[in-house]
Amino acid sequence: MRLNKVSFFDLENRKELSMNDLEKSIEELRVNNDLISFSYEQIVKTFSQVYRLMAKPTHPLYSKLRHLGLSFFLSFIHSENLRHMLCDSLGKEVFSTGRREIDSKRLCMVSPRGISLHWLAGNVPILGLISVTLGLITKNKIIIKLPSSGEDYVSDFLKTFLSSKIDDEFQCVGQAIVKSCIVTRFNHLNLEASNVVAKYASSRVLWGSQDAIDFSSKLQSLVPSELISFGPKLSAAVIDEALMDDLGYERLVTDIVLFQQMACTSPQFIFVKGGPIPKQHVIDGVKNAYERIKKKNAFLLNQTEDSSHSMKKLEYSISLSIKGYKLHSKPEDGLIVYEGEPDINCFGYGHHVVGVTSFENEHEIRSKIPANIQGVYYVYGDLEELFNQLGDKVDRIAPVGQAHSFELPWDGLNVLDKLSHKSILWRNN
Amino acid sequence: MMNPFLENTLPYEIGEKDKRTFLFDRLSQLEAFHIRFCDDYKKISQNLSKQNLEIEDFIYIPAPIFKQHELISVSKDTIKKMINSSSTSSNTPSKVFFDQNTLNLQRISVHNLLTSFIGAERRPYIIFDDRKTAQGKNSMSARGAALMSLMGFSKKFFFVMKEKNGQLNLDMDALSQALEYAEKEGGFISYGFTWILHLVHEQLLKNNFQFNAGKLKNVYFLHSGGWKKLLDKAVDKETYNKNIANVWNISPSQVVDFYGMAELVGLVFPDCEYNVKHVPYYADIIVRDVNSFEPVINKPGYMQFISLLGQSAPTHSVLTEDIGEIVSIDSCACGRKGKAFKFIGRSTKAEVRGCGDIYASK
Amino acid sequence: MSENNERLKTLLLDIFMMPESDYKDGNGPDDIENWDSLATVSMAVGVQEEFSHHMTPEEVSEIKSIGDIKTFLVKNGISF
Repeated sequence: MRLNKVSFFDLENRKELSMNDLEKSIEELRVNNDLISFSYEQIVKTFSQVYRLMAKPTHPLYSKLRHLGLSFFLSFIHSENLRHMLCDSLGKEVFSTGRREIDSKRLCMVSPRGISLHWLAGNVPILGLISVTLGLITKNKIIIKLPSSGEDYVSDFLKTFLSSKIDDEFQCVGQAIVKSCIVTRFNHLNLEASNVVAKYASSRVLWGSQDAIDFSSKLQSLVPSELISFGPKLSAAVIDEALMDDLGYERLVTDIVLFQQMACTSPQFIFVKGGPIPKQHVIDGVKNAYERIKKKNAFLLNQTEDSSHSMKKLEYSISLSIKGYKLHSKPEDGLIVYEGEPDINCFGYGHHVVGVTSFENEHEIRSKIPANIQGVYYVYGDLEELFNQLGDKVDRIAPVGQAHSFELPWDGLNVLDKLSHKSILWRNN
Repeated sequence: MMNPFLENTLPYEIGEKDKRTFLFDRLSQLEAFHIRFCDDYKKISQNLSKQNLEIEDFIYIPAPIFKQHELISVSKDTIKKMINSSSTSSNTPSKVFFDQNTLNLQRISVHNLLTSFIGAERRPYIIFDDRKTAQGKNSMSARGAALMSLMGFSKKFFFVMKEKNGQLNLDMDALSQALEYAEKEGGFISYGFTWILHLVHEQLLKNNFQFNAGKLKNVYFLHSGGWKKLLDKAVDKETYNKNIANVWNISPSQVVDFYGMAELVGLVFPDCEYNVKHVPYYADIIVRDVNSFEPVINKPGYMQFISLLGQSAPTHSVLTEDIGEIVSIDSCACGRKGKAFKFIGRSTKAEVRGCGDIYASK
Repeated sequence: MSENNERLKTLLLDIFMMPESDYKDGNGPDDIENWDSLATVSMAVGVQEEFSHHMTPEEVSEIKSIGDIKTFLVKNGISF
């Protein structure tokens, strides 16, 4: 991607456009109010049709995202989930009517914030789609800044809304949705384009590395801009070895290996109660569970079997060794288990590497757990104490086996209230 | 320090069986040396070593590790030179450190290996690069190191390109001067990075440049470096050699591709006349299956290089990300003994990123 | 083979990308390579479109084999 060029997608023709064209499109977007006239329920129903279309093997994203979390995304845009999220964050009354009666004199009116900029990262495509969905179900107009390289899944997703074979309502809402979106791509060093897309953004949903988030959050805007940042996050597991059994280890390892350990919900290290050194049977429990999963559910691991992973695993093993960690497995083992305090640079995204460390009491975990923890998955007795120690540091505490479960993956993602604007309307006396 | 060379022995004259015995003993000594003097290597060994029963059992360090860590087995104040790899697959180059002893071993090795292909005679040396590439007293790029490795064959050298605004341009005056001298001397050798040499010859062809080097003796065009850009332009080795040979009126076999990398201290692998590469008796190649890392023969895999020259840093056993294939043992028609292999290309590397991947994009 | 069985078979062969020989009542995710969580979602959507019967998430989670899909359909008045 050249530095000064901006790619803009009108969903039909991929064109390289000038900065002026981009500015013009954004000006048009500013005066576009197509989506506001539809109810939340109508939008949810439209997404429900998209759910059905995307669940078919013929959909262009089906094979592309099949192993990259499409089923999770589908569960996210399932009408029950969207309704639940909207009701949960905006209230049932707002969901049905767009407003809430405070008392006989006052109404709370809920409207979209306006233009929502979605600054996407390239690592987990479905997060980009989730981001766009969050903006659209709150009726915002959206500018999507795609990662500077990699495939454009967003346009394929949005094209689904233009499917003509459904019904009139789908067609109307679908077209309004697509008209409310600008998909653009430029090199992140292109400050001019970055400022143009941020200029009128009254909310920014930012994904990616700390650097990317720092950069995009500092862009100047002419309007007050709500920053919603989904920065880099990690997850961990906390287990009491006395409560672990084969099934517990299998659930724990499944959480680790799913999505090639790339999701922010994938545990990267395990805290074991019982210190000071994790007992061998805990390490064996983890390793044996991996072997059982490999035999029973090899498809969970299939994604990791290409050659660069073998090389990367060897690199991790050697880097961990140089850093002084004790390895409990060989690089050729599917899961690399190392022993020692968590090191932020030694996590094995995509390569099945997990650190095991122990603690004697809950205070100790608090001091050992790194910042940026998304979730903690437990097999633990004293949940209250665990929550007291970690509640303010993590978004989610859930049992092992639930890291990527359908019921729980959206904690921390429900930012619909931040994407909406509330105002009070006083009635005439 | 161990002397890896045997007296009165040419690089390719020891057969596989004897070579294995020779290598195994010395490799064991060299590994013990690195465990003793390189703390990082010792830690690696504590976690990964197994019983060394065969050469294949020794620990191998993936080349990318030299990008991330500075591994060194001699006192830092004895380091004379640091070579940066060309870092084709990432922005971080490998750093390989040389003390005087290793520099000497490197010089002797490269000289002996290339002598087997281009003869020992000193000749005018025409370098298709800018002089700046070879400058740098204590550190140097892999490109600079490669062109310097041929200096031992040079009677007088000529840099025939000039860099301006980041672009290399052919200096026709310098080239004419070099060729005039080469004609008087009756022959020359030449070196350029594979891609640069390609661009130069595209330009020479466009300008209808012709030179009859066929009448001279011992003319060789050596080149090294990646093929990716060329393959993207659908230029294969045969076409490449032919294009150059046509300009100079020489045989395509006088265009010699050699493979080497910064981590493979002092080892270069020129193609023999049968288009395969050979390994000298003080080094070895093991090709490993890309998934299981099991050694394979007659099947492509990652190339691991064993070398007794890796003394100032644990580069005695390096697993590269390059794909190659062992095609014969002790039986190449060129007469060189030991394993013969083909370089196939770089492995395609999957870029793995996660939503928790904090540092990958930094 | 009944017409409904043929319809279900065509649907599942397409979604699970399996050979015809794998279409057996006893076969489930352990036996059918491509029967993963996404395929389960696709199966539920496909069944709804083909047989006009919506599977609730709970009913989907009960499906462990091709036989279970048939049982679900039989309960909803589709004969096999």
